[in-house]
Order: sequence, then structure tokens, then C-alpha cells
Amino acid sequence: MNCKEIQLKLLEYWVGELPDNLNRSIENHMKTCPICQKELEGLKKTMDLFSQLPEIELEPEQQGKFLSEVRNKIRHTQTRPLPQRRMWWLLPRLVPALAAASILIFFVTMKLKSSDVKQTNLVSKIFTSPSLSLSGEFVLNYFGTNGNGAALNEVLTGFDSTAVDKIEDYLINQTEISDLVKSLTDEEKSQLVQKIEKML
Amino acid sequence: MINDKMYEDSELVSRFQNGQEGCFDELVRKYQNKIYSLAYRMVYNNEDAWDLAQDTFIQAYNGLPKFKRKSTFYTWLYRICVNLCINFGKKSVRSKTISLEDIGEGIVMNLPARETPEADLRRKKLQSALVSAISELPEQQRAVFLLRQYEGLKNNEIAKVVGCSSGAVKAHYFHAVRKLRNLLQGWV
Repeated sequence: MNCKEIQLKLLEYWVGELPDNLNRSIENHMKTCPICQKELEGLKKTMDLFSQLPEIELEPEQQGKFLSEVRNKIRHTQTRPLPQRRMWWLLPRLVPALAAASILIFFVTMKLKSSDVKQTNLVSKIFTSPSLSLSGEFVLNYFGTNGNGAALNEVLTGFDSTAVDKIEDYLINQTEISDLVKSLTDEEKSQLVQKIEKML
Repeated sequence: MINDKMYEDSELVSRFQNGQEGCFDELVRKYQNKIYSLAYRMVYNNEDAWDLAQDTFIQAYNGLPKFKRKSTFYTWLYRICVNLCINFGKKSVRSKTISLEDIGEGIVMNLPARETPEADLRRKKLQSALVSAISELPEQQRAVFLLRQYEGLKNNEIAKVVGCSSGAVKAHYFHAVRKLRNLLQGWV
């Protein structure tokens, strides 16, 4: 290996993640290469700096009240509606999004009813279309608004793949849907579409 | 050790799913420091970290009934926290510049017993430089770096937390360290 190749592997070498044969190659190279020795030294010094950041913990007083505040917030979100003032504040922002979603859902529902295009193909097209942010959100909206959320869940339960993990994360953790859909590989998307097609 | 931790978590999750509310409290007590620490290092603000850590547990509470153990509880919890911090970072317009006063605000620090004023100032400047350098990393790289450097997670665990392959975790870590090294050249 030359210096450039060695330097690309130095971090893995230092943290002990290389196989033995590569470790030996690097060690042999280092014996006679001051440039790579200096590179490794710089790397070690940089990483040593980070051990100088302080430990972070909640202060004792905060530790005592953390759980009770979490419990209060859980109770609050489960039993009390949003304050009126906040709802009014949010309404102008929500109107365009709600209007767009309604129009989209109406349009596609009508199209499903009136055309010969199979739902399966439509869902497939929507899910794999280039405007991923909108289409991913739409697919989930589609299942939600058409009462198929439970069915989708059922399909996902028996479908072990990273794509499903990501969808579940969205449902549970509220990962941003545009990020979620963009993060799916072509293969994951196509697997998911096949499953959705079977469900439909 | 890890197996014990996983067993205990799994037991607590099962009991919570079977209606024992108190088991959730145990999980909060067990992980509140770790989640707060991760959130703090992601956003470097005491109040924001407090809110994000609390929101993490609230989402976990709501999600636990559906939790199917495709990952361990703690990687799932870290994942919720990282997602919240990343989403928070996208919405926040707060400056990335970290002042000396921000360092150590509201946190417990292990300080040397006796330190000269000069040494104290130098340490604070170094910490400020380190935090600013970490803040310069793109969110996913930052999460990978922090989870590995300070939480001690392995590549496959980090992969589950940030939602990518182990290979991508290695690449993120590599790029993060390279960038940090460039940013901290004056200190090495």
C-alpha cells in the first residue's frame, strides 16, 4: 500500500477495526515512513483533545424533577387540548397544507373510482415518482385517510426490512417524511411497493 | 454487562406493555442522564437539551405499546433523541457559534482541583473550539461522532440509531474526524 492508501485506513487502524493482515501492512509501512507516522500522531492528538470535554450529567436537582416533569407532560398531552391562543396562531400556517392535502386526496380518490388504472399501479407510481417528499407523504396520507392504516400495519408487521423499520420510525418517532422517503434505496422502495400492491 | 442491560430493559418494556406503568419510570431514571447528555452535545444549550430529552421520553412512552424489539430499547431511545435533535437543528435559527459562557452552563464538570487562571482560560478556549468544531459537522456525522466518542456505541448499534448501514457509519465517522482535525489544527 502507498501513503495515500495507508492514510485512508489510519483511523480504522487506530481504533482497531482492521483485519490482522492490514494491521501488519500498516505497521510495516510506518516503520519506514515519517510522513504517515506524523499523520497518525496528528490523528491521535486530535482525538485526545475530545477527552478534555467535560462529562455531562443532569444536576442533582434536575435529576430529581426530570421524571415528574415527563409524567406531567404526558398527562398534559393526553388530557388537555392545545390552548385556544396557540390553535389560532397555528391555523393560518395549517390552512394551505390542509387545503393541498384535501385537494390531492380528493383528486386521487376520484381518479381511483373513475379510471381503469389499478390502485396498485397508482400507488406504485406515486411512491416511486421523482417528487419523493410529496409522494411519500401522500402514500401515508392515503392509507391513513382511507382507513387502511390498520391493514398497512398488518402488512408491515410481517415484513422484516430496513424500509419497514424506517416507516415504523416515521409513525412512532415522527421522523420527517421527506427525509424518510429520500433515505429509502430503490430496492427498499420497490420491495415496499410490492407489499403494498399485495395488500391492495 | 450489555446483555444484563438488554435483559433488564426487555423485561421492563414487557412489563410496561402488560400494564405496569411504573416500569416506564424505571426506564426514564435509567436513561435520563444518557439522553440528556446526548441531546446537550447535539444542541449545546441547557434548556433545549432539557426539552429534547423530555420529548424523547414522551415519544418513547407513546411508542412503547407498538415497540416490537427489532432493535434494543436503548438504541431505539437514542434514535428518537437523535431524530428530535436533527429536526430541531433544521428548524432552529440559533447561531452555531459557541461562547465560552455556553460551555459548562448547567452541567456537571470534572475539573482539576487546583487550576491557575491561565490554565482555566486555556481549557475553556479549547473546549469552546472543540464544541464549535463539533457544531460544524453535518447533523448525521455529528450524531455518529458523538454516539461513538461519548456514548461508546458500536458501528452496528449506531447504524440502527441513525438509520443507515454500518459501512455508512464508518464513512460518516471517517469524514467527521477528518473535518474535526482540519478545524482544530491550531490546537494539535
